[in-house]
Amino acid sequence: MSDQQHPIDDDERELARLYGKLPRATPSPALDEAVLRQAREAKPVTGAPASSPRSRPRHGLRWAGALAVAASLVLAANLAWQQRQLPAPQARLETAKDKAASAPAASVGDNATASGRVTAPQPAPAVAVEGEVAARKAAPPEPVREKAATVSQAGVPAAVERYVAALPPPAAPSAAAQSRNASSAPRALRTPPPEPPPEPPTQPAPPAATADAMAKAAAPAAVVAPAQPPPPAEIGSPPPSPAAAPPELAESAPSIDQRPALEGTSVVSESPGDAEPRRRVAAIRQMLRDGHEASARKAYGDLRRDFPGFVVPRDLAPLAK
Amino acid sequence: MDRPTDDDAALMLAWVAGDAASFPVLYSRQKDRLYRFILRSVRQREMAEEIFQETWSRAIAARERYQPGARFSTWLLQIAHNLIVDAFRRQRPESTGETYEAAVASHPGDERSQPEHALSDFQQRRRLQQAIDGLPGEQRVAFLLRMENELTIEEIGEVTGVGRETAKSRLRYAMNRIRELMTP
Repeated sequence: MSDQQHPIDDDERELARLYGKLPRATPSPALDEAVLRQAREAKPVTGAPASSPRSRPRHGLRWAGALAVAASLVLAANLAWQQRQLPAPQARLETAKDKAASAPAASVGDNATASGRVTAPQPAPAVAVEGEVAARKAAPPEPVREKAATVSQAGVPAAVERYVAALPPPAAPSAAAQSRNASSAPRALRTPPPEPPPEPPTQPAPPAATADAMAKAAAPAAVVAPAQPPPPAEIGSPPPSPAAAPPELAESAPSIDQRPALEGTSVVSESPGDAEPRRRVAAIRQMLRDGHEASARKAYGDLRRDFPGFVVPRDLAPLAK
Repeated sequence: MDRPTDDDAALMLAWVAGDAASFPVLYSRQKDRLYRFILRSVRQREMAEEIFQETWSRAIAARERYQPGARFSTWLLQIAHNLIVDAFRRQRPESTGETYEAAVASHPGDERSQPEHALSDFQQRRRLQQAIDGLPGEQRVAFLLRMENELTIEEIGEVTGVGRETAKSRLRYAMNRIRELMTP
């Protein structure tokens, strides 16, 4: 302590002198011994405090803690991401269904709306058969047929044509049927193909055995001719049939391998205008026998689309699945 | 008086490094000043002994963190001052000083004084003791650190945790108060 920094005047010196005369208390020996014992019991420190190895575990623990926190954050983010991803496909499906349901609904005509049916948005021609619409008003509401409506309308596929060509010609194809076929196929070809269906093509289609279709099939060719080619609005959308096999029956239907045994029992309309569909049925059966099931399914779908009034044999019903 | 020097810091570092013999030397150099500072601050022997032992315990426990940037005595007094402040906070109102006076009376005075001046010295010491006891706590601590431990203004501020001007003001008020009380 320097006097220049802390000058001690005479009064302070006098106080310091007098303070020095005060009793000089000292700690007791027991207190001294307690403190010294505590110092002896203290473990000596080895090494410099700053670089002591004991500080390394602290760094390690700090890193471990940081890593644990980071790992937890990554895990939580991953879980959150997965939680967000899970409902996405479901939402997409719902969105697609909503879109598919709303798009045709927006173009449903008054008649279709009255009958509760949903038809394709393509405008039907004038021959779109008011009588047929009126007849189908009595039919129960059909399910949404967007899938069937989006089935390719490019006409008879080449595979079917090949099989048809391989088959013997029909016994007596009528001129009306020929002209009808000649006119229906190009019209179908002219129809722009809609978007491919979102669902797989194996989805079962309702059978077409309606009373109304059977009546039309039994009608004279001149009467049936304008109505037989399905209107574009109903292409690929066969009417629901009260006789349609329920899903449980469809599931219990015999397998494709058993179908030849059922051929004789199939119900085929005997109308003279059914020559073409019967020819296709024969071709489909030939495909099945040859093992071309995919082609048979496609031909079956085309048959149902092109001849919605045609009563398909029951042995081909499993192809509708 | 055994004036503390930087040798105390060297002793502390040597003891921390493993020299067991350094601590008794360091303790013997610091114990009396520290004890008297504590006793005259709290004016109770039991509390003074408790704070004294606790001060050394904390110094021993914190030996790894000791940095010789400041004097060892300053660091030790800082620990003691914090404990004294805590004791003051726990024990209010303050002691009347009767216990301290009894403790002081139990210790013999300076025997070097002449017999004819004994009465006068005794009266002066008694007045001084009463003046110190009558000081406010912060001024008393500043006075004791100055008189007992011979700390500078800066060191007093460092020990008590205040700035230089505050420490200087406290010390000046304490000196003036004691001079007033010492004046007959």
